[in-house]
Amino acid sequence: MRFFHTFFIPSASLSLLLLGSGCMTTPGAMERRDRQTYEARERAVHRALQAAEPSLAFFQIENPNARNQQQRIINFSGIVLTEEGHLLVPFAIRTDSDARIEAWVGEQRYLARPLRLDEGLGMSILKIEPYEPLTPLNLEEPVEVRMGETVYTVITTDEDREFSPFVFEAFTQGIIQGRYRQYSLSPLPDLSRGAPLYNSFGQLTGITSQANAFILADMVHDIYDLLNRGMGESATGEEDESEDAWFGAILAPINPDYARLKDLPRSGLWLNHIFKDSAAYKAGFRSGDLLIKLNDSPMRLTGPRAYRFFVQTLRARENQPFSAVVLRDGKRIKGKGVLQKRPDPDTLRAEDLGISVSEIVESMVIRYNLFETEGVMVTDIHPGSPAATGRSFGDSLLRSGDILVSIGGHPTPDVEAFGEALDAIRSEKPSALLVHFQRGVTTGIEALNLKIGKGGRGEQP
Amino acid sequence: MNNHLRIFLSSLFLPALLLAQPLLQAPDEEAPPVDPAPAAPFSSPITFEGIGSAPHVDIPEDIMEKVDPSVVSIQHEKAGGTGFIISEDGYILTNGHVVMGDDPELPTEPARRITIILNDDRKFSARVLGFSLDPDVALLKIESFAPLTPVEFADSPSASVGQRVFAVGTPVGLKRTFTSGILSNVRRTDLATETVVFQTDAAINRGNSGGPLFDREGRVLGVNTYATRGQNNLGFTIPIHVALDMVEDFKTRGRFVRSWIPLFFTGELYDELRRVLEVEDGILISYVMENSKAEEMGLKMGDILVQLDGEPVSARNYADLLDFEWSQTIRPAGEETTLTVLRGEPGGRTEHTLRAVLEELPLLPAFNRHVGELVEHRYASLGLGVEDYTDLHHVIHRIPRSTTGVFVKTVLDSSVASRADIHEGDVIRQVGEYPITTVREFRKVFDRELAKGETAIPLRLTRNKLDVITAIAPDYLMRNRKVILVATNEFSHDLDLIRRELLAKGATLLIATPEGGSIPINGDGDPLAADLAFADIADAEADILLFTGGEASKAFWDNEQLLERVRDALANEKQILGCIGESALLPVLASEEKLEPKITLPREFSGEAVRRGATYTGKDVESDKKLVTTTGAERSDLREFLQTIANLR
Repeated sequence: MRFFHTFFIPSASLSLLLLGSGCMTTPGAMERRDRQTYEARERAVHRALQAAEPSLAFFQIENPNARNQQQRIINFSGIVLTEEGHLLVPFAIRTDSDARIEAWVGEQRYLARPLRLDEGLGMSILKIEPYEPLTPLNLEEPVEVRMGETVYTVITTDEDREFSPFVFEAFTQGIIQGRYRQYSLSPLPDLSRGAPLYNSFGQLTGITSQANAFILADMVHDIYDLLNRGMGESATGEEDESEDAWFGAILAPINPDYARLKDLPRSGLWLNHIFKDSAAYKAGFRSGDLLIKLNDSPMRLTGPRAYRFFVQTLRARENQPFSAVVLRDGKRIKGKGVLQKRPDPDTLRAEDLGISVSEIVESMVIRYNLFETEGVMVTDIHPGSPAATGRSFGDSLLRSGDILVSIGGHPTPDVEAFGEALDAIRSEKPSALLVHFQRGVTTGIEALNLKIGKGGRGEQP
Repeated sequence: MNNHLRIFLSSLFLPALLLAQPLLQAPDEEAPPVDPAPAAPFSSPITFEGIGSAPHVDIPEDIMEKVDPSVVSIQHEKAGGTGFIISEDGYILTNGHVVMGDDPELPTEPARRITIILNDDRKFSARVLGFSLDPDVALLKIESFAPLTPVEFADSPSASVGQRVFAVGTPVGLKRTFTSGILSNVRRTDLATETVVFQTDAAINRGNSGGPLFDREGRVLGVNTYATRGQNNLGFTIPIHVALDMVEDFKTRGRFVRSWIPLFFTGELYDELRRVLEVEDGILISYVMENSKAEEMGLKMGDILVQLDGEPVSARNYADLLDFEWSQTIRPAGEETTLTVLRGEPGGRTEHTLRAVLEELPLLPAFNRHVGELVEHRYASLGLGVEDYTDLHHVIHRIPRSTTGVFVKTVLDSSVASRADIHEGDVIRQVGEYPITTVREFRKVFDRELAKGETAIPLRLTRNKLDVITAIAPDYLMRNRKVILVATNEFSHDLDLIRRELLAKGATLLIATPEGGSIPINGDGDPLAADLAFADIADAEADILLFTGGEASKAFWDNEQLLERVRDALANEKQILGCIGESALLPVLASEEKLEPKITLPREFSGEAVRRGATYTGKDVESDKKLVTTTGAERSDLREFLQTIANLR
């Protein structure tokens, strides 16, 4: 493999090589060696173009909620994954996004919809309905390049640019570590985000990201995994927020100074809290353990990046097995288990009181620092409702985070009991309702006026 | 009773109500326009009791002349405001925020150089006898040979809405300004204050703070304090009876001392509560802390307080409740009190008589309008400040009562502490292997670890419900540098600060006192042990020689051993000499010839220094060659002084 670093052209705009335009000639005075180099580059560009062109997509997203005009329309690239119209883009596009996404494949324009998202990967799959089968890009067996090596990325364009394929040249400046490593590249235009990256021999090596490129070898398996995943599944990244599957721990990266002092791994993650009945608990892990290995990968990186490494390595999905090694009192303890779906707390919306309540689960006790578990937690106060109307404007009688322990003299240890109490109150039709609650470490007593708010008619004469 | 916490907690959840801002003349705030003629709020004439049918009548000229001599302008190094004389012998009332200092570590420290300017332009230096930020009241004293003209007080509890009022002050730095209006409300409770406040449409602007609000007879109704930023004709005034309730404590105790029975909350019986509880009058007990005196006396959550010391009590609205709470707050601690409560369900209630002794409320942590009363123990070099953890922290910051340790009050940005991921609000439970429960224990253990030069000091914290393990790794900018700190036998916060910061910077510290005796520390701290007596200083090696300041350090001036050591230090190019406050005269006195490097020192000694040929610059901190001096007036100066020394090589 040759090094072209002495010839790299630093400016992205200058490195634009317009293929087939006939505007490029070989200067007669060029030394033989230079000519060889030039020809080698030309060959490399052709190879990249041949490999990529049929499978390229070009996107335009219009986001009506963008804060400024510049961010309103975004152009970027992507690649075709299947004949049926699955397209891969290196962005997290939520499946409920209402942005309008147009995709060009070849000279054909389609409306694309976000299908799947993996925040751990930082990639989404969009779906179009093609008129004829597309040509998927072969992602199998990607190769890695070395630092300083020249690479090429190819993009297609929209009709404004006459659907010309553009090739950009860059060189790899370094490797950014992580669960999914990335090449740091010399500058490339924004349009190239999402485009495939090739080496001088036309071998696929990465996918261009913002200022970098993902090393495809690290993620091919997970990309196909994402493609093959059932509809509606997602892993949102935050361990204790994952909608899909749940490890069941609150994590904190170890302080590097503490790690050095105690001779512990600097990339460990404390399992600060293990939720009862979680996968982590069942696997034998306990609060205070230090996680040092996950799914056979030693933990890497420090600080917040260690979280990301964890999330990307765990790839939380329901019924997925996992294994981990922790340090406890200096001993290595190995555990394995199967990730589970995070339990959904029961909720209830009490329109006549003007509150929404939720069952209190352990994660809420930790997250909201609750001091009472026998009750239901107020999650929302409905504006203008009896609960919202306090002594003065903005001072509601009840507040989010309050734990109701009884209403109208009926204990409310859980949502079911709260619902029953509500039914009893509705049949009693009181004009005011006594509420006992816990707020922080203290208790409180208020009385809600049930004659006000939506449907209320005020005091009857 | 427990008014403060009641107010604290209600205000904690009332961000929308914190719109009213104190009127301090802060230089960084844009001045709102002065409204010379506030619009009358009513379009048609309205009759109010006591003022006939003419709310727009002029204030009689003799009344203006009567009040003018009592109103004073207040200026100090940071800002200023207005005040008024309440006695012939020079007591002056103003707002607490007008005279407070700006040292977050010592929130009870007032501004240091306060000047009072009378209406005839006579100027006086003033002492702050005490101040509070809620109620926002301060008492000052000036010494005048001639008797001064005090104000006359109105009966503020009987003030009524619509009553004609006028304000006198020095708004936005203007000279004396009169504005007028009416009392718009006499029962404002929604500003998260501890008492009810008056609202007026008399134009009140920044600089009016602490000025009086007069009635038509020229009697003071209150102390003007807040205005609502961006709004017109919304000014707030602390009723004068509230301010006068605090005066005696300021005179005798130096701070306002509240009484309470720890620890319960009360609530007013508003209409809906009266209906569902089927009770007409009383005060609801909504919270009783476990294992507290209140619980011990037999009080229970849900009780209805109906009599206090045999007299009926009731609060049907929040203003009533604040009045009741205030009446208990100002009672003397130690007084016995009897509470009669109703207990049980409507129809089957029983009466119970409970007895308790009122106690002094402990020092307040920072909260809402209070910057707090607790002295923070801060290591600025580490960006970490801690304070003792009290029952009030437990309630305000929702920390389990079982948690013991010290409360993290301050974590400075980009500091060693923030790098260690310590958060404000954490409780530090353990330093190294040692559990700690008080700041005293913390400083003992932590300082020992610092003195050992530990590269990282492990800490165990409680953050809400989580146990957090981390380590703080000081930068030790002064590692391997030997410092002799020459001190008197008197404790001062400044000495403590210097010692602490030098330790946190990694210096090897030797403390020298006249006879080598230890220095007692305020409160219950262990005394600071000395390593040297002055007699040993001559032979002790040091990279840095530091002299503390303060009145007692004037004794250094004629101590030949010290002067000799200072001469050596001045002659030694490798040795750094640092002098604070009074000690900054030492290098001048020690020099046989004119002192070459520039110096600074307190203004009162500058004449002496100049007379002896020194170059006095008057800066807060002066560094020339290897001599560093500071006036030592502010803690920030001391910190800059120490940093300057740390940076010298």
